[in-house]
Order: sequence, then C-alpha cells, then structure tokens
Amino acid sequence: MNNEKTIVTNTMDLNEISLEQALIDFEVANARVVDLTGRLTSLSKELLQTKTELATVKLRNSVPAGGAPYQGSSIQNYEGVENLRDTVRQLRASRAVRAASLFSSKLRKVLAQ
Amino acid sequence: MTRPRILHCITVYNGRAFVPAAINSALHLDKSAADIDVLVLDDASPEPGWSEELAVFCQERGAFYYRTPRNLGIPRNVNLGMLTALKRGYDYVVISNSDVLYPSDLMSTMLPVARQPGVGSVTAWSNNVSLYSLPNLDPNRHLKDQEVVNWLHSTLKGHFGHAAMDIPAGISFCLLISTDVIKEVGIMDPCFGRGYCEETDWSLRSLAAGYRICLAPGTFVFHHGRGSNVDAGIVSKNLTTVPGNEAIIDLRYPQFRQQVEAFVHSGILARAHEDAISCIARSAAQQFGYSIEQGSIEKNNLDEDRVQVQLSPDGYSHTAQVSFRGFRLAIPFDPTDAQNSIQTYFQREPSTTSLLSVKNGDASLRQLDKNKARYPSLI
Repeated sequence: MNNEKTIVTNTMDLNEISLEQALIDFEVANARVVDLTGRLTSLSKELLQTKTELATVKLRNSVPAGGAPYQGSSIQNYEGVENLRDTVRQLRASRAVRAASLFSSKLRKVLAQ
Repeated sequence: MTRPRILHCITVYNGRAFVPAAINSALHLDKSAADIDVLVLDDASPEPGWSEELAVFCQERGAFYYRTPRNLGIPRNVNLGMLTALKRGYDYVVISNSDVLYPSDLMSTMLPVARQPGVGSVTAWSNNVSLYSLPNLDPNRHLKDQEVVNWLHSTLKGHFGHAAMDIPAGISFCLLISTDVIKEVGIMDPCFGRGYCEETDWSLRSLAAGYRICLAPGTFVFHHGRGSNVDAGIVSKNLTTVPGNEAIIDLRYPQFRQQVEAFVHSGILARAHEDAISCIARSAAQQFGYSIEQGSIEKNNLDEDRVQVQLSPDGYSHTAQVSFRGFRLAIPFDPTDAQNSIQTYFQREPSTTSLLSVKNGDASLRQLDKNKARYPSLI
C-alpha cells in the first residue's frame, strides 16, 4: 500500500483535537490495564485458593481426582450393607481383635453388641 | 431563540459507491431551522486514490473534510466528531453512517424532538435501524432514491409529527445529540475497538445520567446498512454484530437484553410499524391512485411504484394485502362489498379494479374500473 505517501488536503484541521484525545485515550487505556492487572492478580490468587480448598474437600471425602462425587451407602443398597457386615465379621474373627479383646474391656463390650 | 448550530458528521471508511450520495444528501439538508455544517471524517480509508478524490469532492461542494493520519476505528472516529462539535461551539452533533440518504427536511423533525424535556439523543427512523427498522422487502431497490426518501419523510412527519418514542438504545447510523449532553455523559468508549455496540453503551450511560433515548417516528432516512463495516472487516457478511462487544454490554448492563425484549413485547414498535405503513399506503393511494385485484391470481411482477390491493391473497381469508414500494400491509375487507370497504379505507375510489366474478359456475374476469373500457392483463 502506498497510502502513507499520498497527500490529502484536509479542509478542517482536527489534528490538535485528535492528538489530545489520543493522549487521553492512552491514559485511560493505561489506567484500565493497571486496574485489570490488579484484578487479574487478585482473582488468580482467589482461584488458586478455591482450587486448594476444593482439593482438600475431595480428599476428605476420599474422592479420587476426577472421580464421581462421594455418595454414602444407601440403606436400600443391600449388597453394600452385606459387604460391610461381612467385613465386620472378618474383623471380629481376626486374631488381632481377639487378642486385643483379652486386654480391653471396652472392646469386649463393643464386640458384644 | 437563536438558530442552533449543528455539526453533521459523516464517518467514512472506503465506500466509493455510496459516500458521494450521502454527502450530497447532507449538503441539501434544509437550513431554515438551523445552521448545518457537514464534516466528513475519513478514517484513513485504504482504497487507493479514494481519500484524495473524497477531499476534492468535499472541497468543491463546501463540506469539511478530515482524514485521520491512521485508522482509529468507528468509536474514536465518532469521538472526533463529538469533540469537534463540543470544542467549536456547536449546539448539536449528528453522528451518521456514510451509506445513507437524508430527507432534505430532516432537521425540522429531529430538532423539535431533541428539544423535548429530558431528551438526550434522537435516532432517525429508517428501513435499517436495528430492531426499530421499518420492514421493507427490498429497500435498496424500492427506497434508494432521494425523491422517495423526501416523500416518505414528509408522509411520516405528517402522521407522527414531533412524536418521540422512548427506545432502549440509540443507533448511530443517524443520531442527533446535544453537546450539553456530551459534556455530561462523555464520548464513546474506545474499548469497543473498531466498532459496534459503542452507541448502546453511550445511550445506556446517558440513560443512567437521567436522559431519554428517543426515536423520531416522524422521520425517514434511507440506510443501506453495513456498507462501511463489511468493507472494514469489522463484521463478516454472515454476521450482523461483533460478539466480543456484545459481551461487554452484557457484562456492564445485565438487564439490557430483557429491557429490549420488554420493549419489543410492549407492542409499541409493532403498532408504530403498522401505523407508519398504513399511513404510507394511504398517502400513496391518495396521491397516486390504487388498484384492486384478485389476490388469488398469482402475479409474477408487482408494480411497486403504485399502490396495489390484492384481495384474499391466500384464497380464503377476508384480508387484503396492500403493496407499495416494498412495503406490505394486511387490511381487513368486507367480502360482500370488497370495493366499498377498500374505498372507505383509502377514502377515494380505486383507479382500476379487476376482480374474478363467478356467476352460474362460470368464472370470468370482471373489469370494474370507472369507464369499464379495458381488461387488465391478469391472465
């Protein structure tokens, strides 16, 4: 393009107004960049903090990263209940529990329930 | 009251095909109500030789011309016009696109509307003014003519007078703003980059400052639409807006879309459209005559220069379709006395009437014009 070489005669000179406004626009744009950078920084911190809290909550609920949300065993879920009962029976029958119950009256009470 | 001074700014980017007509049209604006200076703001058009040509064109005709050293984009180019008006003592500024034709009598309606209490900006009515557009089948074919624009404006002015319709946002294809309002509200926000939505933002800022945003239904400015913007690559040929700029509006004014929907569903606009087209059809019929025809007989080419009334174009309803220069209007009629009911609507006799008459099971075309001398070429 050879536009820069062409000479065009303006019949109204607005260079001064245009330049003044360009400087104001620059100042406004600069102020906006400073303001937005501040906001971006604080929002990034907030985002990091929120992500950390979310990860902590997920860990507490034993949900693997990217896994389905934690759901408690439903009383309706008979297979789940049966599995748990089976586990409890195995624990009660284990040598460790039986040996510990010899020395703990509290454990004996719990096992008796 | 002293005569107001208006700076009429036309923003230009390329547009060799339509800009001269817009400038000529602006230079012929009637100056009896105000002193009007026309300023052409060329936003560094890249088309080879165009800026030089345009500068000479403006100089020869007495329009002010300014080419920016580099491309500013629409909002900042518009700002140049607003600031010039403000700093050089004008009372009003018109922000206008370059693909338009103004009626010579435009300011006799725009100014009285702008002077109404609380009005901050006035948008002219047009075939292409966003959602407010006056519906027309093919405006470029039927309305792109200075005489037609003058006639439409004068007709709408006669019906709506200096009425001001409050609208959700102004459209800067032809927007009149008082410089006092600019002092308070400021100029367009350059964050809208190369353009689109900047006037919505400005309008909503003016509304927040307590000003009314109005449309003048008693005006008509022809607007080709998107001429410069497609040229500038701001919008593609398939898009009518800039999504990024709409997102800014959504962020700043979360209720704006609902306000627009509420306005559309209020029925004000639909009523204004119907009133306007009815008024155009009646005036045209009064001045140029009209014909009544059997609507169920299909015609390939309607003569859009005259008013034509087609009875029951769908073949069964008691509705007639009125056509004139791309405008369409449905009006009810009495099937037992079609001619009289149409005549009552237009308050004059039709020039020609061609109806299909069925007698004793024999269909024939019946000519009902006054002298009953000739049959129309319907079949």
